[in-house]
Amino acid sequence: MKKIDNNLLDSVKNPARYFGGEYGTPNMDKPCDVRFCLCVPDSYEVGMSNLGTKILYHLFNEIDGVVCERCYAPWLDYAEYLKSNNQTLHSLETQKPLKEFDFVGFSFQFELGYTNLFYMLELSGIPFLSSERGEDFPFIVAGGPCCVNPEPIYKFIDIIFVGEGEEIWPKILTDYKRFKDRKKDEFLEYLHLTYDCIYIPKFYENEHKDGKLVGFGDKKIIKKYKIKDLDHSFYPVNQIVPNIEIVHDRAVAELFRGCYNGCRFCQAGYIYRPVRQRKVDTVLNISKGLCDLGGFDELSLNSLSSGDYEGLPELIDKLKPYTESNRIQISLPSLRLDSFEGAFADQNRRSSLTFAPEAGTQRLRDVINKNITEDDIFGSVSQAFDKGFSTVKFYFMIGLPTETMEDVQGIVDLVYRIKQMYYSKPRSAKGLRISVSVSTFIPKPFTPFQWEAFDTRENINEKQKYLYDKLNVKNISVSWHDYDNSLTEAVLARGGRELADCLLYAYKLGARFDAWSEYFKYDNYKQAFEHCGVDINSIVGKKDENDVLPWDFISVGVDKEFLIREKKLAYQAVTTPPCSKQCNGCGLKKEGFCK
Amino acid sequence: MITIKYKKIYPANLLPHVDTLRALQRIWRRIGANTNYSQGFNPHMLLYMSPPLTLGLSSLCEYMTVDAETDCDVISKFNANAPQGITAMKVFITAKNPNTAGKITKAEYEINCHGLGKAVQNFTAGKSYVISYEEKGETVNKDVADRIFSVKSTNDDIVTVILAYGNLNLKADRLLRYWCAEYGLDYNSAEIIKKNTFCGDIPTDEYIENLDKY
Repeated sequence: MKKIDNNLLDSVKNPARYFGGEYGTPNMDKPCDVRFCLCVPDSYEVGMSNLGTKILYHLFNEIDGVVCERCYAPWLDYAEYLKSNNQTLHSLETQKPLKEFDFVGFSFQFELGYTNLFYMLELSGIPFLSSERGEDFPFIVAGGPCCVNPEPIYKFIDIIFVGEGEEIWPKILTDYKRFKDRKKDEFLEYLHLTYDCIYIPKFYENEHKDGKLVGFGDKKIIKKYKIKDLDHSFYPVNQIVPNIEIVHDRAVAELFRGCYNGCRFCQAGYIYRPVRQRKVDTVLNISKGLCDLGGFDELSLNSLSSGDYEGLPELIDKLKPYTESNRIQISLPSLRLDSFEGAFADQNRRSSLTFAPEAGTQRLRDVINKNITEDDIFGSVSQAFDKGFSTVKFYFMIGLPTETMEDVQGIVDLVYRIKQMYYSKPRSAKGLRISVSVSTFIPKPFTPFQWEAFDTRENINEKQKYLYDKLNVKNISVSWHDYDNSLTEAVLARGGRELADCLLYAYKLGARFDAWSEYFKYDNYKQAFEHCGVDINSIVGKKDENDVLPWDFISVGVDKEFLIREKKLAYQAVTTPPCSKQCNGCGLKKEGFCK
Repeated sequence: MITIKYKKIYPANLLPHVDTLRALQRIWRRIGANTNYSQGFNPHMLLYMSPPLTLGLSSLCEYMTVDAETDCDVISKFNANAPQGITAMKVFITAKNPNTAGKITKAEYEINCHGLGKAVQNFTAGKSYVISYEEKGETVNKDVADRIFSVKSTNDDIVTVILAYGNLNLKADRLLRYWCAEYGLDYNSAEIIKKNTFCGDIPTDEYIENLDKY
């Protein structure tokens, strides 16, 4: 009977995070030539909720000769325990030290997770710099949505995968068996020459003129890999079931990738293009498999905008007999205001509903191409009130391009009208609660707003104060994102190679778990930017359309001309219809995706 | 009612009580047996557990009772659907809920700690015995004579103790920690295994098997 050190039980909270043993863990004892450790630079509870890494984890373990294990960023108490006991960070499944794997892969879901890369490497005894790792350490790999601009971490990563991994990674891992006993550089060279979606940072150089980025040499453009036939792509139904409660503790069936709506602020809407749907029967089989094999009592039908799934009514009809007889609750996250069906909401046990108008006036909603009207908003909220919901949450953004104080006042007006509407209806026994969450817009790469400036501290503070003053009344609560937090995310999302040293410096000053507001300290970054001589104003400031941007050597398939066209339409407050209605010529048709 | 006696060892012994409950519910859902749920707005599975086990302790005698019917081989189905470290050992079918959470009052532990057997060989249960421990940052001194029923040394290192368990409780790790401090022993490498429980003086298995009598 294996025993845990009693000191660990005394000093570490929730140790189940670090020792695996979950139901559904694949066979770790099979013969293997390749060992991969898949890491999420965040806690177990967050990392285990990530669908992408779950897919890759099970996919890798189905490959002959490949064993894939997991590791998440340990909380500070376990990190301290490891250090004080001279132990290094290990995988969950077999407690193997990370440095003994062939590959250690990190999935970066948000930029503020970068410093946890150093945190996990340091705990593993693996050098930070790619150039210092030599032949004795594993390949450090990066993937995930942040890798559409991976330049801030270029010198720490050996292999960067841009895109969806289900089809290419099995090939890479099979290829690696031939290179296992050869020099690491030979394998890197092979990857560089063979796969367009693989970026090997050490083979690329930035060219500058008068301090400005002007090019990347004569190396190939990195093309984001997109699966063409999602319906037949790998999707694990016998998934690992967490032993402790995680953030999204439910079965997750993916309906489709991409989004029709082209909201101009939304990076996911552009980098995950085009829309690729699974067939209704495929989703049905996945859903039943996940619930039967996992024992879940909640099923989430996921996508960027689940209400847009063409087969949704048919799917719900087919799922209902199964979910009702098995006492499974269906949840549909990311419902748009124009696709909300009150009839569906009433079968759920949820006590609150969330809506995302994003902007307070129709003009600004047209600028950002949100493509919803006031009628959509009030119609959906009215249905929710009619169904008995009395707690509603609204997401808005401030700092959007062309925004004025009239638009900010628009948020106030909209919220007050919703409040009025509630009281104009027959009363519910419960009192009304409206939560208004206001985030600060960050112009991200590969969106039509990628050339826009991140709003100034003075403007954002003024808008936040205005909203607080106007909405600090009975039944309404307002929350917002800290400016420094959003500013740091903007810098890391838009910056280039100049940020690499800053990130490491910030880590050395104590930055880690920066996506957690209780751990984020802007001072670490501020000092790092100053120490490394980085002008963050030039990074978050307005860009010219002719500027070379740090991510211009990567293509996600959407033409720059299309983004410029969309930006111009934004300034005219002209909307572009969803691409389910008409092709807007974003460029993906050239890649053979859209009909 | 179906009651399952299961062992909970590493790594499942690192699961807190609430997460263990969730894991048991999921095992049971995976088995797919016909199960009863509570009524109301948010129905939940009628599944009951024996009293909580201290985090990190291994146990050979945990119980769960579920209001369900099935013809399947419960032990093999349960074990095929369980996470690592949870293993069903025995099944009882009863007409009513044995209520192990309320009825279990004593637990027997085997403690393996270098030198402990020798140190406590002359311990007499029933006499006033004050231990001190830390709770919420404060030192507590408490007479636990009414919570220690038996202390027997098997050899110089191994001791078997029977302690109060359930509503009136003495945590075995708390007693061991006190002993280690008192006798200068190494707590860190010591191991405790919960081996048996009792409903009054009746072993829990016997109590459930003869539930009609009690």
